[in-house]
Amino acid sequence: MAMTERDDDRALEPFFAAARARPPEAGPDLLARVLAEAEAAQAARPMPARDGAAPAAGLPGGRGIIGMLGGWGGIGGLLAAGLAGLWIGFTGTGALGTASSELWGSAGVTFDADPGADGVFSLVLDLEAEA
Amino acid sequence: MVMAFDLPDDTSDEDLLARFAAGEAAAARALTLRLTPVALRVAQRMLGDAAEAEDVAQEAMLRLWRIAPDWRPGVARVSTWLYRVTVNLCTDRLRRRRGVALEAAGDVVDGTPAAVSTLIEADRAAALEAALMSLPERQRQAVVLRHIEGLSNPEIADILGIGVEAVESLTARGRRALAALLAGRREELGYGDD
Repeated sequence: MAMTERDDDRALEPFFAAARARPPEAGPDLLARVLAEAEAAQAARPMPARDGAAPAAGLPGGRGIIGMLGGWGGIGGLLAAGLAGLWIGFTGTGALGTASSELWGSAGVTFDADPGADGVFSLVLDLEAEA
Repeated sequence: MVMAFDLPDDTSDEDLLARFAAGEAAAARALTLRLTPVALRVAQRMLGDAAEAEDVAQEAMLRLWRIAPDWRPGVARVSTWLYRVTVNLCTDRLRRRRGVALEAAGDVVDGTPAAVSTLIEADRAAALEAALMSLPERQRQAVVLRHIEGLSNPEIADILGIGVEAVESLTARGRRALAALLAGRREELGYGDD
Protein backbone atom coordinates (compact mmCIF):
# COMPACT_ATOMS: atom_id res chain seq x y z
CA MET A 1 0.00 0.00 0.00
CA ALA A 2 1.40 3.40 -0.97
CA MET A 3 2.20 5.74 1.90
CA THR A 4 0.14 8.90 2.16
CA GLU A 5 1.62 12.30 2.83
CA ARG A 6 0.52 12.00 6.43
CA ASP A 7 2.26 8.68 6.70
CA ASP A 8 5.42 10.30 5.35
CA ASP A 9 5.26 13.03 7.96
CA ARG A 10 4.67 10.53 10.75
CA ALA A 11 7.52 8.39 9.55
CA LEU A 12 9.92 11.30 9.27
CA GLU A 13 9.15 13.07 12.51
CA PRO A 14 11.41 10.87 14.69
CA PHE A 15 14.29 11.70 12.35
CA PHE A 16 13.53 15.42 12.39
CA ALA A 17 13.20 15.33 16.17
CA ALA A 18 16.54 13.59 16.47
CA ALA A 19 18.17 16.20 14.24
CA ARG A 20 16.66 19.06 16.26
CA ALA A 21 17.83 17.45 19.49
CA ARG A 22 21.39 17.02 18.25
CA PRO A 23 22.39 20.24 16.53
CA PRO A 24 26.02 20.66 15.53
CA GLU A 25 27.71 22.57 18.32
CA ALA A 26 29.58 25.78 17.77
CA GLY A 27 32.90 24.99 19.44
CA PRO A 28 34.96 27.45 21.44
CA ASP A 29 37.47 27.94 18.63
CA LEU A 30 34.77 28.95 16.16
CA LEU A 31 33.13 31.28 18.68
CA ALA A 32 36.48 32.84 19.48
CA ARG A 33 37.20 33.45 15.79
CA VAL A 34 33.78 34.99 15.22
CA LEU A 35 34.08 37.21 18.28
CA ALA A 36 37.57 38.32 17.30
CA GLU A 37 36.24 39.44 13.94
CA ALA A 38 33.37 41.24 15.64
CA GLU A 39 35.75 43.14 17.86
CA ALA A 40 38.01 43.92 14.93
CA ALA A 41 35.02 45.30 13.02
CA GLN A 42 34.11 47.49 15.96
CA ALA A 43 37.67 48.70 16.37
CA ALA A 44 38.03 49.47 12.68
CA ARG A 45 35.06 51.79 12.67
CA PRO A 46 34.89 54.80 14.98
CA MET A 47 31.69 54.38 16.90
CA PRO A 48 30.07 56.57 19.53
CA ALA A 49 30.63 55.54 23.12
CA ARG A 50 27.65 53.96 24.86
CA ASP A 51 26.53 53.46 28.43
CA GLY A 52 26.96 57.12 29.29
CA ALA A 53 30.70 56.94 29.00
CA ALA A 54 32.41 60.30 28.81
CA PRO A 55 34.19 61.17 25.60
CA ALA A 56 37.70 59.84 25.63
CA ALA A 57 39.17 63.12 24.54
CA GLY A 58 37.93 66.64 24.13
CA LEU A 59 38.81 70.27 24.53
CA PRO A 60 40.44 70.99 27.85
CA GLY A 61 38.26 72.76 30.34
CA GLY A 62 38.79 76.33 31.61
CA ARG A 63 40.84 75.13 34.52
CA GLY A 64 43.14 73.32 32.13
CA ILE A 65 43.76 76.42 30.06
CA ILE A 66 44.41 78.56 33.14
CA GLY A 67 46.75 75.93 34.48
CA MET A 68 48.64 75.77 31.22
CA LEU A 69 49.13 79.56 31.32
CA GLY A 70 50.55 79.54 34.84
CA GLY A 71 47.47 80.29 36.90
CA TRP A 72 45.70 83.61 37.42
CA GLY A 73 49.03 85.43 37.92
CA GLY A 74 50.07 84.35 34.46
CA ILE A 75 46.77 85.51 32.99
CA GLY A 76 47.25 88.96 34.57
CA GLY A 77 50.74 89.18 33.16
CA LEU A 78 49.62 88.24 29.69
CA LEU A 79 46.82 90.76 29.80
CA ALA A 80 49.12 93.51 30.94
CA ALA A 81 51.69 92.67 28.30
CA GLY A 82 49.04 92.69 25.63
CA LEU A 83 47.70 96.06 26.72
CA ALA A 84 51.15 97.53 26.98
CA GLY A 85 52.05 96.37 23.51
CA LEU A 86 48.85 97.82 22.15
CA TRP A 87 49.49 101.15 23.78
CA ILE A 88 53.06 101.28 22.58
CA GLY A 89 51.89 100.62 19.12
CA PHE A 90 49.51 103.55 19.24
CA THR A 91 51.68 106.11 20.94
CA GLY A 92 55.23 105.28 19.98
CA THR A 93 58.05 104.99 22.49
CA GLY A 94 58.61 108.71 22.92
CA ALA A 95 55.29 109.23 24.57
CA LEU A 96 55.56 106.27 26.93
CA GLY A 97 56.32 108.31 29.98
CA THR A 98 53.16 110.33 29.59
CA ALA A 99 51.19 107.41 28.41
CA SER A 100 52.03 105.35 31.44
CA SER A 101 50.43 107.76 33.83
CA GLU A 102 47.43 108.09 31.61
CA LEU A 103 47.13 104.35 31.33
CA TRP A 104 47.82 103.17 34.83
CA GLY A 105 46.86 106.28 36.75
CA SER A 106 47.79 105.87 40.39
CA ALA A 107 48.83 102.25 40.07
CA GLY A 108 52.41 103.37 40.78
CA VAL A 109 53.90 101.48 37.92
CA THR A 110 57.26 102.75 36.76
CA PHE A 111 59.36 101.71 33.81
CA ASP A 112 61.95 103.16 31.50
CA ALA A 113 60.94 105.69 28.91
CA ASP A 114 62.47 103.42 26.28
CA PRO A 115 61.52 100.07 27.65
CA GLY A 116 62.08 97.61 24.85
CA ALA A 117 61.30 94.05 25.70
CA ASP A 118 62.90 94.29 29.15
CA GLY A 119 60.75 97.25 30.03
CA VAL A 120 57.56 95.46 29.21
CA PHE A 121 58.80 92.47 31.14
CA SER A 122 59.36 94.71 34.19
CA LEU A 123 55.86 96.06 33.84
CA VAL A 124 54.47 92.57 33.81
CA LEU A 125 56.47 91.58 36.85
CA ASP A 126 55.30 94.63 38.74
CA LEU A 127 51.70 93.92 37.92
CA GLU A 128 52.02 90.32 39.00
CA ALA A 129 53.62 91.39 42.26
CA GLU A 130 50.63 93.56 42.98
CA ALA A 131 48.10 90.88 42.06
CA MET B 1 34.09 28.91 25.75
CA VAL B 2 32.99 30.91 28.76
CA MET B 3 31.53 34.28 28.02
CA ALA B 4 29.52 36.45 30.34
CA PHE B 5 26.06 37.48 29.29
CA ASP B 6 25.97 41.18 29.96
CA LEU B 7 22.63 41.74 28.25
CA PRO B 8 19.23 40.19 28.95
CA ASP B 9 18.44 37.09 26.93
CA ASP B 10 15.24 38.64 25.64
CA THR B 11 17.04 41.52 23.94
CA SER B 12 16.04 41.33 20.29
CA ASP B 13 18.54 40.59 17.55
CA GLU B 14 17.79 43.97 16.02
CA ASP B 15 18.51 45.81 19.26
CA LEU B 16 21.69 43.84 19.77
CA LEU B 17 22.84 44.68 16.27
CA ALA B 18 22.21 48.38 16.85
CA ARG B 19 24.18 48.18 20.08
CA PHE B 20 26.94 46.33 18.29
CA ALA B 21 27.08 49.08 15.68
CA ALA B 22 27.31 51.60 18.50
CA GLY B 23 30.39 49.84 19.81
CA GLU B 24 29.05 47.78 22.70
CA ALA B 25 31.33 44.85 23.38
CA ALA B 26 28.56 43.00 25.23
CA ALA B 27 26.39 43.09 22.10
CA ALA B 28 29.20 41.54 20.07
CA ARG B 29 29.44 38.69 22.55
CA ALA B 30 25.68 38.15 22.74
CA LEU B 31 25.24 38.10 18.97
CA THR B 32 28.19 35.75 18.57
CA LEU B 33 26.74 33.27 21.04
CA ARG B 34 23.21 33.56 19.75
CA LEU B 35 23.62 33.59 15.99
CA THR B 36 26.78 31.62 15.22
CA PRO B 37 25.04 28.33 16.15
CA VAL B 38 22.15 29.24 13.84
CA ALA B 39 24.41 29.74 10.86
CA LEU B 40 26.40 26.63 11.77
CA ARG B 41 23.29 24.43 12.01
CA VAL B 42 22.02 25.39 8.60
CA ALA B 43 25.45 25.19 6.98
CA GLN B 44 26.14 21.76 8.46
CA ARG B 45 22.85 20.38 7.14
CA MET B 46 23.26 21.97 3.77
CA LEU B 47 26.88 20.96 3.29
CA GLY B 48 27.23 17.77 5.34
CA ASP B 49 30.77 18.79 6.22
CA ALA B 50 31.71 20.16 9.64
CA ALA B 51 34.81 22.08 8.58
CA GLU B 52 33.10 23.72 5.64
CA ALA B 53 30.08 24.51 7.79
CA GLU B 54 32.31 26.33 10.28
CA ASP B 55 33.87 28.36 7.48
CA VAL B 56 30.45 29.33 6.20
CA ALA B 57 29.17 30.23 9.68
CA GLN B 58 32.21 32.42 10.28
CA GLU B 59 31.82 34.11 6.90
CA ALA B 60 28.11 34.73 7.46
CA MET B 61 28.82 36.32 10.82
CA LEU B 62 31.60 38.44 9.34
CA ARG B 63 29.11 39.79 6.81
CA LEU B 64 26.76 40.57 9.66
CA TRP B 65 29.46 42.59 11.44
CA ARG B 66 30.15 44.51 8.27
CA ILE B 67 26.54 45.33 7.51
CA ALA B 68 25.69 46.30 11.10
CA PRO B 69 26.45 50.04 10.78
CA ASP B 70 24.16 50.28 7.75
CA TRP B 71 21.37 48.08 9.12
CA ARG B 72 17.96 49.68 8.71
CA PRO B 73 15.60 48.65 11.50
CA GLY B 74 12.26 47.27 10.41
CA VAL B 75 13.30 46.37 6.88
CA ALA B 76 14.17 42.75 7.64
CA ARG B 77 14.70 40.47 10.58
CA VAL B 78 18.32 39.82 11.45
CA SER B 79 17.71 36.09 11.66
CA THR B 80 16.06 36.04 8.23
CA TRP B 81 18.98 37.95 6.77
CA LEU B 82 21.44 35.53 8.39
CA TYR B 83 19.59 32.47 7.11
CA ARG B 84 19.59 33.93 3.60
CA VAL B 85 23.30 34.74 3.64
CA THR B 86 24.12 31.31 5.05
CA VAL B 87 22.02 29.51 2.44
CA ASN B 88 23.62 31.53 -0.34
CA LEU B 89 27.12 30.84 0.94
CA CYS B 90 26.29 27.14 1.04
CA THR B 91 24.95 27.28 -2.50
CA ASP B 92 28.22 28.82 -3.66
CA ARG B 93 30.20 26.04 -2.04
CA LEU B 94 27.95 23.33 -3.42
CA ARG B 95 28.36 24.73 -6.90
CA ARG B 96 32.10 24.51 -6.53
CA ARG B 97 31.96 20.86 -5.62
CA ARG B 98 28.88 19.87 -7.59
CA GLY B 99 28.36 16.14 -7.91
CA VAL B 100 30.73 15.12 -5.15
CA ALA B 101 28.25 15.52 -2.31
CA LEU B 102 25.46 13.67 -4.07
CA GLU B 103 27.67 10.67 -4.77
CA ALA B 104 28.88 10.56 -1.20
CA ALA B 105 25.38 10.87 0.19
CA GLY B 106 24.14 8.11 -2.07
CA ASP B 107 26.79 5.78 -0.74
CA VAL B 108 25.72 6.45 2.80
CA VAL B 109 22.01 5.96 2.21
CA ASP B 110 22.41 2.83 0.12
CA GLY B 111 25.19 1.35 2.19
CA THR B 112 24.96 -1.18 4.96
CA PRO B 113 23.03 0.30 7.85
CA ALA B 114 24.44 0.35 11.31
CA ALA B 115 23.54 -2.58 13.53
CA VAL B 116 19.95 -2.33 14.70
CA SER B 117 20.88 -2.35 18.35
CA THR B 118 23.13 0.68 18.01
CA LEU B 119 20.77 2.90 16.10
CA ILE B 120 19.87 5.45 18.67
CA GLU B 121 18.99 9.09 18.32
CA ALA B 122 22.42 10.01 17.02
CA ASP B 123 22.04 7.43 14.29
CA ARG B 124 18.66 8.77 13.31
CA ALA B 125 20.12 12.23 13.05
CA ALA B 126 23.02 10.91 11.00
CA ALA B 127 20.71 8.94 8.75
CA LEU B 128 18.58 12.01 8.15
CA GLU B 129 21.65 14.13 7.42
CA ALA B 130 22.86 11.62 4.87
CA ALA B 131 19.43 11.42 3.27
CA LEU B 132 19.19 15.19 3.16
CA MET B 133 22.41 15.31 1.17
CA SER B 134 20.84 13.25 -1.56
CA LEU B 135 17.96 15.69 -2.04
CA PRO B 136 18.11 18.34 -4.71
CA GLU B 137 19.62 21.45 -3.16
CA ARG B 138 16.47 23.57 -3.21
CA GLN B 139 14.38 20.83 -1.57
CA ARG B 140 17.05 20.37 1.05
CA GLN B 141 17.03 24.08 1.87
CA ALA B 142 13.25 24.12 2.25
CA VAL B 143 13.12 20.95 4.35
CA VAL B 144 15.93 22.04 6.67
CA LEU B 145 14.42 25.46 7.25
CA ARG B 146 10.89 24.11 7.71
CA HIS B 147 11.34 20.89 9.66
CA ILE B 148 14.60 21.36 11.52
CA GLU B 149 14.84 25.11 11.99
CA GLY B 150 11.07 25.32 12.45
CA LEU B 151 10.52 28.43 10.31
CA SER B 152 7.19 29.36 8.77
CA ASN B 153 6.59 28.99 5.05
CA PRO B 154 6.37 32.77 4.51
CA GLU B 155 9.70 33.28 6.25
CA ILE B 156 11.29 30.52 4.18
CA ALA B 157 9.85 32.12 1.06
CA ASP B 158 11.52 35.37 2.08
CA ILE B 159 14.84 33.66 2.73
CA LEU B 160 14.87 31.71 -0.52
CA GLY B 161 13.40 34.50 -2.58
CA ILE B 162 10.47 32.42 -3.85
CA GLY B 163 6.71 32.28 -3.29
CA VAL B 164 5.01 30.50 -0.43
CA GLU B 165 3.44 27.97 -2.78
CA ALA B 166 6.84 27.10 -4.16
CA VAL B 167 8.04 26.52 -0.60
CA GLU B 168 5.13 24.20 0.07
CA SER B 169 5.89 22.28 -3.11
CA LEU B 170 9.58 21.98 -2.28
CA THR B 171 8.96 20.75 1.25
CA ALA B 172 6.31 18.25 0.11
CA ARG B 173 8.59 16.78 -2.53
CA GLY B 174 11.49 16.80 -0.11
CA ARG B 175 9.51 14.94 2.53
CA ARG B 176 8.37 12.33 0.01
CA ALA B 177 11.95 11.75 -1.11
CA LEU B 178 13.23 11.54 2.44
CA ALA B 179 10.50 9.13 3.43
CA ALA B 180 11.43 6.89 0.53
CA LEU B 181 15.12 7.08 1.35
CA LEU B 182 14.59 6.32 5.02
CA ALA B 183 11.74 3.81 4.64
CA GLY B 184 14.03 0.84 4.40
CA ARG B 185 15.86 1.79 7.52
CA ARG B 186 12.65 2.39 9.43
CA GLU B 187 11.39 -1.08 8.63
CA GLU B 188 14.73 -2.63 9.46
CA LEU B 189 14.77 -0.77 12.73
CA GLY B 190 11.23 -1.50 13.70
CA TYR B 191 9.96 2.08 13.49
CA GLY B 192 6.94 1.10 11.49
CA ASP B 193 4.68 1.38 14.51
CA ASP B 194 5.85 4.87 15.64
